[in-house]
Amino acid sequence: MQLKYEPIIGLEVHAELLTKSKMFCGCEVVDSITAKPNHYICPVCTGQPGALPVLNKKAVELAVCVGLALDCKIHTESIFARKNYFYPDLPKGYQISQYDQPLAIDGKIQIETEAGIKEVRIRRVHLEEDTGKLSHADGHSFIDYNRSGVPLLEIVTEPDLRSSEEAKAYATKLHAILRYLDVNSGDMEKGVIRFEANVSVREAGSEGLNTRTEIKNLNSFRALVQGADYEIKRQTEIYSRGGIIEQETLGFNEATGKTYSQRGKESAHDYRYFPEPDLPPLVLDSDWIESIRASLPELPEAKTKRFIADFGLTPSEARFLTAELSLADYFERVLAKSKSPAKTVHSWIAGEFMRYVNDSGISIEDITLSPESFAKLIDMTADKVISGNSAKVVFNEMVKNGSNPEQIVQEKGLAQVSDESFIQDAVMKVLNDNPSEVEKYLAGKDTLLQWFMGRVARATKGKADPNVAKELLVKALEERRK
Amino acid sequence: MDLHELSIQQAHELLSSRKVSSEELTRAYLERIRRLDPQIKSYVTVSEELALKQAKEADQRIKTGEGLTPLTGIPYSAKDSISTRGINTTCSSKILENYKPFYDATAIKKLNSSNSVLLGKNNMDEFGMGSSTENSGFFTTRNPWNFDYVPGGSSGGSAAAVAAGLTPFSLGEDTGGSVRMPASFCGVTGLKTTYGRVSRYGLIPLVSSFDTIGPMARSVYDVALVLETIAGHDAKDSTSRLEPVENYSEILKTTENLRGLRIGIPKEYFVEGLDSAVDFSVRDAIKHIESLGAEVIEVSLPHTQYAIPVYYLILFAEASSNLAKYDGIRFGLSERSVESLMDVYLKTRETGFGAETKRRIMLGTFALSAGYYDAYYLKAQKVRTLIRQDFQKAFETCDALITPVAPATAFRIGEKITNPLDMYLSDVFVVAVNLAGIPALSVPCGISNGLPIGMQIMGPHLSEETLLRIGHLYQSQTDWHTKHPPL
Amino acid sequence: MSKKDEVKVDEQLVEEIASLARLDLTKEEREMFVSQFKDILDYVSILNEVNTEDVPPAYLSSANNSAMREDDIEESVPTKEFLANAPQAKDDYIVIPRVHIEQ
Repeated sequence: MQLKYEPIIGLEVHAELLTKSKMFCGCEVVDSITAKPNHYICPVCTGQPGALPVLNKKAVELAVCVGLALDCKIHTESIFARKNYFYPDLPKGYQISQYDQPLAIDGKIQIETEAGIKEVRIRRVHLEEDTGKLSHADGHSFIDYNRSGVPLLEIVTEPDLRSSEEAKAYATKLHAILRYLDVNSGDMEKGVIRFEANVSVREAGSEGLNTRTEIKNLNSFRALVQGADYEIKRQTEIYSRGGIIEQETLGFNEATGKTYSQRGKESAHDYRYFPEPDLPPLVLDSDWIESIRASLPELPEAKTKRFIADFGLTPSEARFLTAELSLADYFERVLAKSKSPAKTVHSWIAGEFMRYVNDSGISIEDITLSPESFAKLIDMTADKVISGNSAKVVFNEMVKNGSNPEQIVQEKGLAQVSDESFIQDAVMKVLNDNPSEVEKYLAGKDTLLQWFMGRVARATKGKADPNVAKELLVKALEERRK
Repeated sequence: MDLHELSIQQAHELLSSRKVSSEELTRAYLERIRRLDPQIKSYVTVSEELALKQAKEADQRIKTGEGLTPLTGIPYSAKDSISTRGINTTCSSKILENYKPFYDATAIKKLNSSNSVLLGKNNMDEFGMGSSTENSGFFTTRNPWNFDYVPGGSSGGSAAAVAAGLTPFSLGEDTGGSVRMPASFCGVTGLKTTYGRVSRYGLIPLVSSFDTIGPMARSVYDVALVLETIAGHDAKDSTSRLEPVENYSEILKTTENLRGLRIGIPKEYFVEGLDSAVDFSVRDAIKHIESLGAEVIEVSLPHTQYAIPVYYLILFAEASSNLAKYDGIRFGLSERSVESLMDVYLKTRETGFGAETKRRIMLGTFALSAGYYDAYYLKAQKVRTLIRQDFQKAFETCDALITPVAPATAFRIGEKITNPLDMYLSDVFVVAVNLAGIPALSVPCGISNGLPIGMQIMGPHLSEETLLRIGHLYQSQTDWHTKHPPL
Repeated sequence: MSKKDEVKVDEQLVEEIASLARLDLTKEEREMFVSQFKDILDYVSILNEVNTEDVPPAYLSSANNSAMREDDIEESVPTKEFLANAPQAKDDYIVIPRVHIEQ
């Protein structure tokens, strides 16, 4: 009989913190993809002999923010440690990190899974510094230390995730929270959030954990899912054959979708952590922590609840809107300017608006369509000033050229017409032009009414009030029956 | 009197009255270095060009008379572990042979703003690892009192330069006696400062939690002048102390006796194996200090015997990490006639580091490695707490402690170099001070067989003022510090 | 503390440590380190005599807790000054033999 295996996944997420200067020196934090190499460096972040670190208070504040948002216990005294290893992007030969007494521990995040809401436990949240960046060409590697010393937050879960989908749901939720807190730019393509997945599998229903492997450099949600899936499959196959899994660190190749062994056994890792003697223990004033707690913004859970309670949205509608702070904000701004109910605004946002966002690839923050204009368009449609079809035309015009909807309606002559004589003319013309369809309708094919409606809409260029048109059409057809 | 025999205070008077220019003074020292240093070998770099430029700038400032300090126009040298912008800073290691920092250590910056004149950089044991300068990657410095003997270490070049009149003062660095021991062996005055009193920014670390920069000069008064210039909080050093710096030299001028001070004599420092001449000289000095009004009592520091193993275990661990950056990638020696990146690491570190440095890196890597951390590093840090508590207890009953600096006078070159453990044991009286982070002053108090003897005056954190007062009054009554080696 | 007594100092241990520390030791050096390691570890085992139960490690205390800087940008160092010490550099990058990447 084939045994069933269950994956056990824990995630380590590295998120750059949005500070102006680096973690331990005053060098500017810049976009490491576009900035000139080695232009934002100093003795400290290039590991010059004798240089010393001084902790950036803002980085600590942002880290505390995240700790609190994840419902962690914040240590009022935490310790920095040196993680010793050799790598050319690590200028000091050690990374300043936290080990024994991290900034925050024991938190949780709620994620939505197929089976419902699930709580993922957060083991620890700690501060550390980023490394430089390597690039490779021919027989050489090239080092840029602009990124060296950028503050990083490492957020580690307990092994609570049971599938790559759950891992993705967790990662997505954490991404949203970091954006809500405005502690990270969220720009995944720039590598400001990076994942490492600890994966093991065990016989379904069994207790205890098997040997795990650690997949490094997963830099997108897609890579996270692919890497985890590949590893689950690989481990399952090995166990099915009666093999054993070796604890090791793996890389992930985005091109092939496969993991690969990164380091041989002979150089097994021993980071020789010890307390960083150049930095005194980080002692936080509990008043300061409380003031940070008091200034925390509304988080996804709370916002979802408020959208349901205050706006009468369904849980899934509310969750859709709150999944991204920028979307929730945009929704609220449109809603504030609109007379229409929240459900109507939601369906516009979920429909036309998201279609545009997805097609154009423009991020919500960069969209020029003003909430005022959008609200006006929604209200004009609700008031039947224009038809639904015309509204879509106006929307597309607005996102392209940004002018206000009334002006577009006027310029394009899209105002909805309820004037019966104008619509009656169109109805008569459609019936006269299509005698055989009229005959079929009168013979009992009722579904043709919709076809006639379409013809009328076309003849009036979409301006006809559909209710009026329908009424007149039915009346004219019934007259022909006589 | 020759220019090289002037104290800082005397030189300052001649400079400010413009009887002598900084350039003349600087040239006199450069000339003496040229003449004597080929034998003594106290300098690894002489920064003649910079020195003359700085001297001329100092003379300009003296001419305007604005913002003069006691160190304006005064030449000095610095241990080669203290970063000097554009001037080789090698820690006497081949791995940094041509390394020119692009920034100045904070202590150097402070001396620059006084318009002091950097003569050059002094030899040392590689990265501070040694007690004799025999572990220098370049050459061994000789004791100016007798060229067959070591000057002590690791700031041996600094001590020898001050003793031989090759600089009025030198910035030394003390991790586990590296200022006090050579000061004692060479008959000069040296201060190990309270941890954090002088910024470590730009000081190339050996043991980050022990390292301290401290002045070495010919008198306590001169040491005080240097200390008040280089001390103080530095925003670039998170471990530097916030307390304001006292005006030490002014305090010394008004000190007339030591009444009200209680001096402790830790019995664990006067034990079998202590050289009888050293024992006699230090006890004689204590009597002298008693005669100046201080009360003398016996105290106990029960964990003294554990200081050396604790010190070395923590040293090995931190040093192994601090020396990881010498990898041939960004600066310093790099072996590039190799195939792979791994070979760059291996060959560079193999060629660049000396035997003692490698030994300590190995021991530290071991002590920190998984499975041994608790037994070695953590255990050492716990015993360190007990050693600190010994001092705290002693300082509840006394203001300062006096001991010998070393169990004997300088040893012969080559005598201990083959036995590392024997060399470690010569630090027996000095390392506890670094474990506790307290200040200690080394003051010449005798000569035996033509080699100087030093006493150590220790005090609680930030008690530099007390230590300097004791040392200064002692020197005002004795002449050991004025004796020169026969050059 | 029993660990110390169990430490078996041999050439293999020395070689493992050397590999972690990126030191390429000669056969003679390895042999020398084996004997010196033994002496030194034997010497430091004197610490076993000290009862440190309930004694906190010393690094936990510091006189100047929580020294932090504000998030202000300071001027960086000119790239050419940084690269002046570099064994090899090109187009503002530090250049090294290629980092080996397995796939």
